[in-house]
Amino acid sequence: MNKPPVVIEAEHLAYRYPFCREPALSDVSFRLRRGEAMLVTGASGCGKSTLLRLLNGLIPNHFKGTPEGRLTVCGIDCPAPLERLSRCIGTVLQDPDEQFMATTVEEEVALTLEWQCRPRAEILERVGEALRVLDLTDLAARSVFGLSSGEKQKAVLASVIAARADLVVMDEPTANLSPEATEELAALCLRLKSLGVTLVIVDHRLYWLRGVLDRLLVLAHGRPVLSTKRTPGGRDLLDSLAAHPDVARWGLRSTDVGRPELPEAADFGLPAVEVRGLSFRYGRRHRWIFRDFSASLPRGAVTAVVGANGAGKTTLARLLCGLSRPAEGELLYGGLRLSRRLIREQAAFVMQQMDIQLYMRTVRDELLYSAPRGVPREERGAQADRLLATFGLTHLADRHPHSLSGGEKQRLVVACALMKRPTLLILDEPTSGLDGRNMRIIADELAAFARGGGTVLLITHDLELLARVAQCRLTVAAPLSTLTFTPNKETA
Amino acid sequence: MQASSAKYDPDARRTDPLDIRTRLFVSLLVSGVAVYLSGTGPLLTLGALSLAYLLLSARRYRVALVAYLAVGVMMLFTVGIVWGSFAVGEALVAGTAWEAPVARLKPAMLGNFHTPFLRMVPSLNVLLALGLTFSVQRFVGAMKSLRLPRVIFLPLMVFCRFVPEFVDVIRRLRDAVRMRGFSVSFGAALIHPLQSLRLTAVPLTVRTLRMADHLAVAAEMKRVGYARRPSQLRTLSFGRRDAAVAAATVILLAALTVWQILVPAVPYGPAAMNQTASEAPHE
Repeated sequence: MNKPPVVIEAEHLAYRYPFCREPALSDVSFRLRRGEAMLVTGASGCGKSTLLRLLNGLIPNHFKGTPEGRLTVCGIDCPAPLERLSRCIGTVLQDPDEQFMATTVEEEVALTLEWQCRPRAEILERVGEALRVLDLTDLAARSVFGLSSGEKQKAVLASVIAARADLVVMDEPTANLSPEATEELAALCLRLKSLGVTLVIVDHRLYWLRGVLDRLLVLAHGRPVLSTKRTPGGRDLLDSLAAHPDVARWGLRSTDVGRPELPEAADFGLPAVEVRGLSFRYGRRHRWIFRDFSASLPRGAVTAVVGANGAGKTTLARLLCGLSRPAEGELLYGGLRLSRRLIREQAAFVMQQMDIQLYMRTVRDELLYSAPRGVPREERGAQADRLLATFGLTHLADRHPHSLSGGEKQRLVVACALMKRPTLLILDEPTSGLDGRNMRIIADELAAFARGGGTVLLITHDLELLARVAQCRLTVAAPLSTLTFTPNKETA
Repeated sequence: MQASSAKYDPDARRTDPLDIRTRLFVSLLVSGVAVYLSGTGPLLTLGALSLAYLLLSARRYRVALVAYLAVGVMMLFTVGIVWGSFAVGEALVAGTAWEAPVARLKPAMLGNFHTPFLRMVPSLNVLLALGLTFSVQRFVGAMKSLRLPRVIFLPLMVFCRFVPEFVDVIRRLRDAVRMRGFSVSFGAALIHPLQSLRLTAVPLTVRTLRMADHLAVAAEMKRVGYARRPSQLRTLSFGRRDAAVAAATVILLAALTVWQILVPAVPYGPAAMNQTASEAPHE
């Protein structure tokens, strides 16, 4: 039987970013055939995203610098113009906001096809199919800015499916997806493979790729430390990875993650924060997100908020920390009704967008600035130094916060929230895009904060984080939701 | 929820019966002619007709009411300022009593200062009708269909994409700053200007630069700008209804222009003041 044609052929690939001494990538070689899937993983900063940018042509078309070695993608010798490469390559980035060019879901899905000058009938057929496959038909006319993170990610995936690319490269595609949506993504990957689409997936989360992978590439400091291929009838590549003696040293995440069975928060312990009869919607023309919703968050515990993409988890966080005003119901902190200003003083909220939470000139100043007013300077300084050490940021104390990498920024904003000494600490996807080592640092600090009597509300789809730190759960389901996610028969 | 099996057709969801190009045409033409008109009769007629157009286009009576109230407050404020400054000037320069200029101004000024506001009303109506039925997608589609050069069309498209995200970033930034115990407001900027600058300028600048970079990457990866005439997801249909509205607008505006020419306008502003001053009885 003839082997499928080679889609990617890389030989001794190397690349150095402009003004950088160390190469971001060195001596990477692999070959990927039509319909195969490859995982590229490794600790933060190991060169995964750089490899992806070389494959989709962003290097050297957008990011300058000189690539070395030989690379052929879809029969095109690289470097090649982006316009030529983007005809056959679809890209899914970690942050879907970075990828939107249109303002509604259907326009976004259709955009590539419009600029390929496809006939309208074909555009309608492909867009309709992509929306159906990802269960987005009901959201077709919605603004992309009003979607939840998971829905945004699905909209990007739909645009790649509609474009029918030969090669799809994905950078942390599950960072914002619920476990159910992640399962469906795995099913979708299998379906794309069966249609002859080649996949290159860059991800820290590994468990969802069981049964999907044909090739595995582990990078460390820009160099391949493990490059292996699945043999027919052989064991799964994730099992091979888990059995490797150096796997702990590479800072990877677990290859086997189950859904933790957690008790309901209401049954767990003494409540620190209580919600009674809460109703909320964003405006009179909008649907109710919460209707007569009651819950309690136990003191000294980490509570995980569980709910599908778009169920209202972030909205609940906004209500709990006094950023939104409920239409009905009451919020009790330690049994007391507080004003929203006082609630904001009592709570800390780590949002998903890190850039808007960093203001100061240095990392240390950022921490000092986060301390509550009235704390003596020496005490503030000592606490800041302790947090810098705990989160592995001491060597970056004098750096500008915006010059840090994504993982470093994530650790910094969590440290800033702890610096505030809140009664309630709310974190919205604090570990999306973090490698195993950094995820464990954050998990351990949250556990320590809870042990000290703090209350933690954790909004995350990261099963590994949940398994490590969550003690109870709070289930959120929008009462009139049209956005709940259920597995789609077409992709199963 | 199961995936819908119905045939996908974005045009079936169209809510505005008029083509966006018609709305743009009506808005531009009415606003232009309103600047030329100065007679109370033609302006009142145009105001009434444009109000009917607004109410038929979008049944958002509350929004229209708020807009009218805002214009009313603006009008009263302007009249008050002009009136007050005229009275003070007269009193200081001519040394006349306060009551005299006020008494002289009353009849003339009330009659003449309404003209700029009457001009504002038709523009307000047509722009509200455009705004309340506006869809970025239809606008971008219309721009594409007009075969504008890429240097005009692409920035417009990027602008339409950039503005909502920028607004979203500002909203999130305000939340983040409030969680730190500060506020982003005009008052806070006056009391703590440096702190407000630090809390807003740094994250906004960084975020804006990143957004610009992301948009450039997104555009390149989707091949935006590489085709001379891209296809359209939605059909732009300039139908009979559009033709009728456009024709009715042209005819009505032509009739009002003729009315304006045949019936000279009442002077206003400096001319009215001079006329009022010369007609006023000398004491």
